[in-house]
Amino acid sequence: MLSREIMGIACLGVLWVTALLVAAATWQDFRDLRAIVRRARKMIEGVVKDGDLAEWSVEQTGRATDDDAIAFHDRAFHSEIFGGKVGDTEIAANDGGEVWIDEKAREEAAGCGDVTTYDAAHAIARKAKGFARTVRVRVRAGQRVWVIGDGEIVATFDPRAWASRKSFVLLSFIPIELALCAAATRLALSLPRFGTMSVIGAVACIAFFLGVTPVAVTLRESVRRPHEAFLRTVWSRKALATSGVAAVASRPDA
Amino acid sequence: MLQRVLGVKYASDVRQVWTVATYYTLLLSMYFVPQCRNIVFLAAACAFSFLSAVVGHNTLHQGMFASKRMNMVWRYVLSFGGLFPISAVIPSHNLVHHHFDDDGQPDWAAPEHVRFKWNLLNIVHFPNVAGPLTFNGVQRWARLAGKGEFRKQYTRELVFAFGLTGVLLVWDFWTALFFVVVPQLWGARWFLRINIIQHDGCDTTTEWNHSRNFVGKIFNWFMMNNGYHTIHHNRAGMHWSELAKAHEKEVVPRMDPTLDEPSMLWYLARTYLLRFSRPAKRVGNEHEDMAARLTRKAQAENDALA
Repeated sequence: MLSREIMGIACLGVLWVTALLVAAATWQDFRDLRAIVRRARKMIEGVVKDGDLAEWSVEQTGRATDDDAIAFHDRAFHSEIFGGKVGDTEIAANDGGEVWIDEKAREEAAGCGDVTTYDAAHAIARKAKGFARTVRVRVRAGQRVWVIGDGEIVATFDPRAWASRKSFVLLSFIPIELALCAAATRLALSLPRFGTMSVIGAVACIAFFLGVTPVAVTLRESVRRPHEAFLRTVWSRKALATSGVAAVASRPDA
Repeated sequence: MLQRVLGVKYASDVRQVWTVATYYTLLLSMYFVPQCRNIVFLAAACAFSFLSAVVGHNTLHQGMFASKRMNMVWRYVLSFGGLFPISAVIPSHNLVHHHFDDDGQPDWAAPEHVRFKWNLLNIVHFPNVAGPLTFNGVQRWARLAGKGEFRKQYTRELVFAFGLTGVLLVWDFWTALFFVVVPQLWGARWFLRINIIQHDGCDTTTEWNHSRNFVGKIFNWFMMNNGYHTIHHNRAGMHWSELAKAHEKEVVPRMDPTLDEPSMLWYLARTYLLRFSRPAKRVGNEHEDMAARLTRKAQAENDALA
């Protein structure tokens, strides 16, 4: 016979292995962000002189939803650094570089425009192939940029601050996650063993087991490097109609 | 005879019904009979939970029963078995995994989602990443136009699976947790892990070397021929009972022979226990026309819409 004690210990073992693996995977992402912070020590900041310095784009497919909207789905991200001058520094062209565009500029570029555009897109988005488009943002003359390495990263916001902020979030998650697991475990081990408090603890352990991984994945997606961070976006006809004409609701999709 | 009584389309599908019936019998035995709460029953229930998920996979590719209603009812049975709505397999597996990408983004169950240096950790951790990615993706897909029926069925399966499990937990909490929920989660998580087992290190950009095949006869009897994975990917509509022959005829002459593994257990031991690091990804030397895969993808999307 498998006693409750044996099964309880085995289940708690699985719970802790999961909690530690989630923490370890988060640590990997944290380490990657710290590497950016380290590389950003030799970063230059300045204003782009003459012409376009770089371009970021994402290919998307939009498909109609049942609530009269178009949900866009990211397919492929592209970054291209054309080269140019930032302040007094010459930046070489770099096909393999990363272009980081701030969230606001990306969302603006992904907006719909007007009802006519929406209706034309919606007719195509209802078909199986969907409505294909490319959202582009260029880094132009006069814009303030931050450049890491020899054009390895060109950003329209401070990448070191971004990486520091995100790495802090990741680092905070690890002890919180482990503390929650410890609290649920402690409750599950309450005396009398397998009594009411213990049942509540076990329920907390199940909730933790089922809930921690979606949270960790959401966190992981939130720290994707900005050149390949999901844009997604939803065009909503309802939002277009209520907002009048041009200013279009373009909200990130999940 | 049994085929007629059960109402299944193929005689071989009786084995699928037997697999799921065995799993339910094991669960009920452990839940109601204290003497059955032992390691043999628990191990068997975990194994059959995984096999039930394999049945779910097969039946979501091709309805097993002649009656449409029976196919829908069967989905509830399978959803409780794995504690997840089995209909999730349609977008996550049929539409995304079979083409190795989600419209250009990585498959939700791509092995690359885990990246520990110690390879054992990759297979242990894999469901923790692939699971949430899958359910997030399914929810995005379910929002699209024309998926109303899918959403209803998905919700009903979710309510049934969690509702019945909840009732069992309320009735006898610890027995349900240890002898029902544990096998359910075991099966669901190994069902996700099979993706890393069958594709890690393979070149998914090729037509014939994207998958690892496990060709043991006994293994495939229990697994309903799901060891023959390359041919299953390339001919998703083919009934599982025909996969072994098709593998010999179509895949073996074209594939890298090292992707045929005689034993999954030996492969797991060799890859995750007897070595520390992750094996290098093989780079394909095929520069073939992938039009066939695109055609299959379009067909699968049309089928899903229908």
